[in-house]
Amino acid sequence: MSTRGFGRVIRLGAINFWRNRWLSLASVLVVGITLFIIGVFFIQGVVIQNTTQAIQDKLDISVYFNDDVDEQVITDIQRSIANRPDVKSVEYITKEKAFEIFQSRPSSEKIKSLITPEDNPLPRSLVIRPSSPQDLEQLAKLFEADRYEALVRRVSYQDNKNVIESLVEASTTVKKNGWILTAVAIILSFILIYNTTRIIIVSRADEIEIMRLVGSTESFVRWPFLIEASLYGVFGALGASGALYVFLQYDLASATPLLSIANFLAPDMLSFYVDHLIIIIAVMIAAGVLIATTMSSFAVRRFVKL
Amino acid sequence: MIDIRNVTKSYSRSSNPKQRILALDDINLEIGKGEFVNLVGPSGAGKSTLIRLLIAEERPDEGSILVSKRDIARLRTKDLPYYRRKIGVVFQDFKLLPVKTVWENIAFALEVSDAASSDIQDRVPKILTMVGLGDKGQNYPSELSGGERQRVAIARAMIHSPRILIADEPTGNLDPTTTWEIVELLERIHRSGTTVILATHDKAVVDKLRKRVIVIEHGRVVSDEKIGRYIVPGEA
Repeated sequence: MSTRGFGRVIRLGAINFWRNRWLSLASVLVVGITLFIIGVFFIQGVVIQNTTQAIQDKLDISVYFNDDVDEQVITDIQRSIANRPDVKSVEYITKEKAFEIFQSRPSSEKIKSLITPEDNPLPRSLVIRPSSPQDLEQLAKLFEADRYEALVRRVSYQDNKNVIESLVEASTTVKKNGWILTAVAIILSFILIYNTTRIIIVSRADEIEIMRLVGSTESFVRWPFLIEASLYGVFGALGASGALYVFLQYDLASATPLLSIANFLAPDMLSFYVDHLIIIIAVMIAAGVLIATTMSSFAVRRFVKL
Repeated sequence: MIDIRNVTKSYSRSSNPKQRILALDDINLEIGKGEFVNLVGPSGAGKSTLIRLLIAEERPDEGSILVSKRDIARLRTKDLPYYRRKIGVVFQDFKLLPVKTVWENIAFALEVSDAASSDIQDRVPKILTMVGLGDKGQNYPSELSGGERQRVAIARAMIHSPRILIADEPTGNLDPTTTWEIVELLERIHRSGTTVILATHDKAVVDKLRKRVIVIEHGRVVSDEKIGRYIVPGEA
């Protein structure tokens, strides 16, 4: 098709989009809802991934040893723990190292002066990083065994436990719900766009016949339908992008538990969305156009006999 | 110009697909360049089938249809649009696009053939003037009378300056006065050198035109006279 012809089919498609505006609106809504659902789960997935990763990197168990424990015992424990598959790394913090860490902390000079290298009450410890957050608890439990009772002063990991657990749970649920809802949304929008195009084709059977009789080529008949469908995609994507913003900005996630399990992530999701606004809208438009034109061309191939 | 040789066409009966109905039975016709031909005969005689074959809406079972020495019975699907741009066709029900203005309806036939916009701007007003609708370009078909709609259809058919104009019962929906206006327009088109094929039921039109009359009945050519009258065998 020539450039001029292409310009004409775009104009025809746009005119048809407007003249069938109620059907168009329905299709735009369905594409928009589909993209919105995909968008929520995608952003949520990314944010959960990032947050989990960030917390996971900071995640560790500190096992503090009594001062009377022989250093050899501690390094033996370090070696045996390091070989476990659920352990990423084990670091031995000596009294000197603990002192350095203490001094580097942002606290007042008065407090800092309480401890000196000569008079150092800070215990030695092993800092254990688990391979995955789920391993945290079982690693901590190891040190509840009787043989450690005389050696270990304290095991600390409790602080982050709840956050980690809810994150792990959230990411699993979000992934599962996300897939199901996204699949349902895509199937629904396929069915609706297919039927919309079919209705339009059937209602315009006369028009298509006339187009053929005055010498339209096949592509001149088909392209306006694809243009029309592309417009569903574009407007659906723009609508979905706007809806996503409102959804995140006003924290509607907490009102829709099915869509968002981890609604405490909303602020992070909003900043991710704003930071990646252009790429998100571009991907949404591409996905919307792809979904809409695929279904439309199925319907056109099936119902436009040339 | 048009050479129809041994053309046979049958349809399967919808109630019994195995049973065939013979619509055209070994038709032979030759239509010369610049002729005005009336195609007459009762309903179901095969006129419409012949028209559909001529505009390549359907293909014959047997035989060939040569238009400008080209067998349109063997046109490839992708060549059909280009053939249709070379012939003008007018129907009883006008077949105008209701959501387009008169101007757009006519321009559309040029747009699909990739004509330049300047060309469209130039030709549409001329053809509208020719059919006497110079001031109706911005009207929609629903705002026009039957006769005016048929003029729009004729204008659209003639916009490519085709050498053949095929009119299938163009006056079938029109009152007598309007009928004569349309017939006069067809004669004018004929005088400018276009071959016109007019399929009609209208005895008065045929008798007044005093042009070649081909009578089709039961799928056969039963009469073909140079300057004929509307005669249905058995009635004469």
